Amino acid sequence: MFAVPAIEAVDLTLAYGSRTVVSGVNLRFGADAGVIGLAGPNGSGKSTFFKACLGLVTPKAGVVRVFGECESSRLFRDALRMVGWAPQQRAPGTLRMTVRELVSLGRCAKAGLFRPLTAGDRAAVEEAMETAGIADLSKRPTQELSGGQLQRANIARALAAKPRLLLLDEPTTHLDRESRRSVIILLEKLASGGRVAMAVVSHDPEALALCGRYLAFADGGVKEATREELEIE
Amino acid sequence: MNDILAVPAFVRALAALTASGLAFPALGTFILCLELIPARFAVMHVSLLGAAVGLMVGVDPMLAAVTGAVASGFLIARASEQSSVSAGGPLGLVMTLSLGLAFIIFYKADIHAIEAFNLFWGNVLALTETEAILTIIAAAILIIAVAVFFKEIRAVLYDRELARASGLPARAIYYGIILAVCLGIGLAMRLTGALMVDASTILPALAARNMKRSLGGTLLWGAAFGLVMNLGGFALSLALDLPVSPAVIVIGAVLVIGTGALGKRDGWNLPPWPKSERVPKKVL
Repeated sequence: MFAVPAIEAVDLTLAYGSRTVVSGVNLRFGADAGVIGLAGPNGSGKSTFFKACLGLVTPKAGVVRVFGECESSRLFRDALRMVGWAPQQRAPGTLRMTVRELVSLGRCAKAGLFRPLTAGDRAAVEEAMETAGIADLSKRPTQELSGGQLQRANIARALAAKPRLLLLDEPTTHLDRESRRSVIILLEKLASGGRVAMAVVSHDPEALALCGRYLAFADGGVKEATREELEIE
Repeated sequence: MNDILAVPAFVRALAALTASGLAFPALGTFILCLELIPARFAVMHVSLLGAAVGLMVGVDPMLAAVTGAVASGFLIARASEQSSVSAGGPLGLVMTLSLGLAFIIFYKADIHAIEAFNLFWGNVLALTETEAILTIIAAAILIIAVAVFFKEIRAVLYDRELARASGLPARAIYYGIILAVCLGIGLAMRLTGALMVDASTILPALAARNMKRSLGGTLLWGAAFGLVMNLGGFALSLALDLPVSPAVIVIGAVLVIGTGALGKRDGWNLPPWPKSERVPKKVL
């Protein structure tokens, strides 16, 4: 297994302009950490923490490392290729794309610049769609997907890179009951497979119930918490 | 036809219109995908200002326009990274200020009216050999770059944050796209004029978007529509003794309206889902 932690934050402070979102964060977890739940009220910095890990938000103070590399590191992009990220659900955008094309985006960085996707890349895309249960939707335009289907396609896109760590941000939010259920089943499948560590931001007790360790974001800080403290049924 | 090909100005015009028709609709697709419509207005106006400065100081106006476009593109790309700041206000300021300064230069530098009008209306028949070659080279580079970086461009057009978070050099690719758009607008100004620069970029891209295909299909349809627009417009202008740029725009508008209407009637969608492929409600 990896000697370096998948995520390591040291005295991390994140802010938007003058508004500090979270400060003094010290945590680390490895790629063998299982499923970690990130819980807390809206605006407590959970999604911002993910974005900081991915180099999308620059820390105001401290440092966050992904597989030992921080944003300013020359090898940071290589480290990112070991992470899959499915952000909070957003509209599919103006670019028309089939599900297979969307999932193959997850393979772009792995394939390398200038290089077209290889047979191995395409096999990884098919495997990710199979895992997410959307193989039969592969030719469908993303604009025609339901919320749950689109969310599973986004998770498949993250899985296509065969990441060591999967960051899932509110995977069941804004979904109807049936769609939510299909995403929970996918998360259960990924959690039981044990091939990839997962960090899940969620308010959904059913999604959080899959986690073996919890981080509570509240009052501008982060602390370890138990299921009981988070009142997860 | 042979008579036309015997005139160097016509040959240069045809070559530039063919090259730009094939390549520049890709820029229109980028503009539409990245929602750069207001930004490209600002680029057009700064290009015009650049051309006015070029005319004043005796530099090739096309070169000056391209320089202005690229400089404004760089600033726009920088500004768009500050997502918390709305770009609408500053872009409006840039547009009106550029136009105002351009008119002041026309007036004070005593620039001949026809030269100024050429900037607004364009004059593809007045292209110099250097300008025609520059347009062809730019079009060829654009086509090659899109082919080589297709998967990276698609990732950035879909979602810049996702592309960056996956480990792609999304920022560099985004800047490359913006600079290509600005370069194209600067070059297209000479072909169609500042007021009708959309003819070479947006109109074929809009018609291609109406075909409702993925990025690859949209780019190919855009190239086909761009070629039909430019050459059709050129032929129309010769047949009816019209200025070239407006004739190109008329053909482009017909294509956009036609594809839009057909798209509504027939859907233009990917083939309908066979019943056997319909997804069961519970997939998992």
